[in-house]
Amino acid sequence: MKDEAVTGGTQAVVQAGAPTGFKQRFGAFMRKFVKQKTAVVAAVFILILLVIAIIGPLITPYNPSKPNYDALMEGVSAEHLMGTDEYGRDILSRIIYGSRLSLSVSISAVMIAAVLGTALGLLAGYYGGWLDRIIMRGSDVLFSFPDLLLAIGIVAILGPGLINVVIAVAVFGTPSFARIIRSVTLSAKENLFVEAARSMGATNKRIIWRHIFPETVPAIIVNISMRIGGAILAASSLSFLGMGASPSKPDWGAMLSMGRDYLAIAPHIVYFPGLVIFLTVLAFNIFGDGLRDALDPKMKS
Amino acid sequence: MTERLLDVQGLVTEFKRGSSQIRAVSDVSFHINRREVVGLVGESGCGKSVTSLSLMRLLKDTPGRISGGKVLFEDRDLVTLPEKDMRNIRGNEIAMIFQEPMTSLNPVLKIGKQLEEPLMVHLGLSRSQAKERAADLLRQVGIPRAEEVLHDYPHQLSGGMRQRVMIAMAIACKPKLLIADEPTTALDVTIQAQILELLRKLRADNDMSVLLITHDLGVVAEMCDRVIVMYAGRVVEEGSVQELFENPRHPYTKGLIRSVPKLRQKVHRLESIPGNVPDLSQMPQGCKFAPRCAYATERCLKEEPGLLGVEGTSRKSRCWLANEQTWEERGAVTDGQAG
Repeated sequence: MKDEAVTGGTQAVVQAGAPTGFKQRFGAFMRKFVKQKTAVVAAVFILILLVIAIIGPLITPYNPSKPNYDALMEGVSAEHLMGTDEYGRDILSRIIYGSRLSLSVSISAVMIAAVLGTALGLLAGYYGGWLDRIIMRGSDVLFSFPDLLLAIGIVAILGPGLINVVIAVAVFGTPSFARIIRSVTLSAKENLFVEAARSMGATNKRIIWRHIFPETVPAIIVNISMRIGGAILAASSLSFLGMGASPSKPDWGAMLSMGRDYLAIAPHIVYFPGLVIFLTVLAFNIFGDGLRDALDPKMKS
Repeated sequence: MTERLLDVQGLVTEFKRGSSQIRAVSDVSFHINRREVVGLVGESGCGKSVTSLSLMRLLKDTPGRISGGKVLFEDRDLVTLPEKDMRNIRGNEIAMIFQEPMTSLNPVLKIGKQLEEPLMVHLGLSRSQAKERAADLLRQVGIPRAEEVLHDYPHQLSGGMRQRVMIAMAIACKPKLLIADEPTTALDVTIQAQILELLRKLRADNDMSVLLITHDLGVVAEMCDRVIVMYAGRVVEEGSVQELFENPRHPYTKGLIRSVPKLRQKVHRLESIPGNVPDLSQMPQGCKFAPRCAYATERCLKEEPGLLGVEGTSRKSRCWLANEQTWEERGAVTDGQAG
């Protein structure tokens, strides 16, 4: 639509660090992200994991919960790529099914935390005053607990179960979103265009939604990707402690917990779930770092 | 005919700094008639912008607070108006253009979306009506290819174009008063002239009053009917453009006018006013300009003059010597005391 000269001008503006339209922003982001090789590898790993989780039932070689007493605690073999557990269930199949549980629990928990935390952060940052103080002191209280301890406490109150794990992980994820979004809001509301919007009689609601919220989106995306790793770890830990998924379910944490008893005679039962947890959490963290480096305006210059 | 649209009476705006209150605007009174262009001039930090923000009650996000006075806009006191009613006035009856066209548009929203905002908020237009009107407005402010520009992002436009868009947004609801806070400062000179020309045309077309805040006396001479000169948060002189430029009645105004280079006049050095604007937290006693004034007397240093009327005119000046006939008569009493 635009002629060459204008596009050239656009390019110059992007390099000067001026914020631009969505397409330009996305293009600049992709260029920066692709430069970070490890983050790209992590992103590919996550993508594969997501695909596996989605099409899981189609590719699992065995029924993940069907015991096979002819093949108890078998090691790695051609039939069972990751061996079998103490009931003769195929570990690879269980891990594939487990990816659905782990990912859905952690992603939904982080999403809930993101929505709640963003709303609180926007309110606190925009209105300031006593509202800000209440929200931020509340966050500080939650922050002062070690994450996992807080989650254990919440599950202890609500009772075990995956839904409660989601709630617990969401609760301890919320303050980090609130704090980050508040700080972004504080700087975003200083923009002249916010003042200009106010001078046109825009309501607070409108200013927050149309002018401030879009400024916070990069920070939200980055924090989501950074928190998912931690959430997987927390959910697995809770299951490991018997407070999340029931041991019969193919949850990664629960698999670890079950395999623990056989560590001495069949270590492969814990190796593979442990390895998968480790790789997944690592991938999300590296991916989050890469996103941050590509999106964070403070690192741009 | 010369009905007052805006009447500011004894406006005081204070900023909190630590435990002390700093008066950025103290006892400012002026009025704007319908269809009048009033210039508000003064150095940086003299309270021009704070005055305009106070009029719009846009100090909410700052430590500032209006602590006294009245702002009567068509007999409504804007200082005490509920926030909801005030919001209705902003953009609808009083609109504002800011100094920085580069940053006063949201970079992630298309021009069209931003223009539609005041239309939908105040006039209750539907999206499609607003869209049509937005294109009209862009044409009104002289933007070619208006329909295309609606789909552009702010970064695709030049500074002058962006300021035109800002002006289009400001006049969208046909406000009665347009506050233009240094609308041309960030633009280059040729564009400045175009923007001023545009403002003049729009004022005539829409029957608006304009409060033009600037430190450019050239702009004032070209645009305004009346001028208000501010210094250290106070109005120091007020009068028609003609009178004020021909015969300033306040030494500060005189200094300002003399520090503008003139055509066809051989001057080797530009004149300047010695000294600096006093720190708002450490105001001198007496006349605030006295320490920099070449005509200051004992009385000036001790006692602050009020806004005195100048005999035989509608002018006012905050100077004990306002009614002396010529500057020569006054003589430079304490020359060199500044510094």
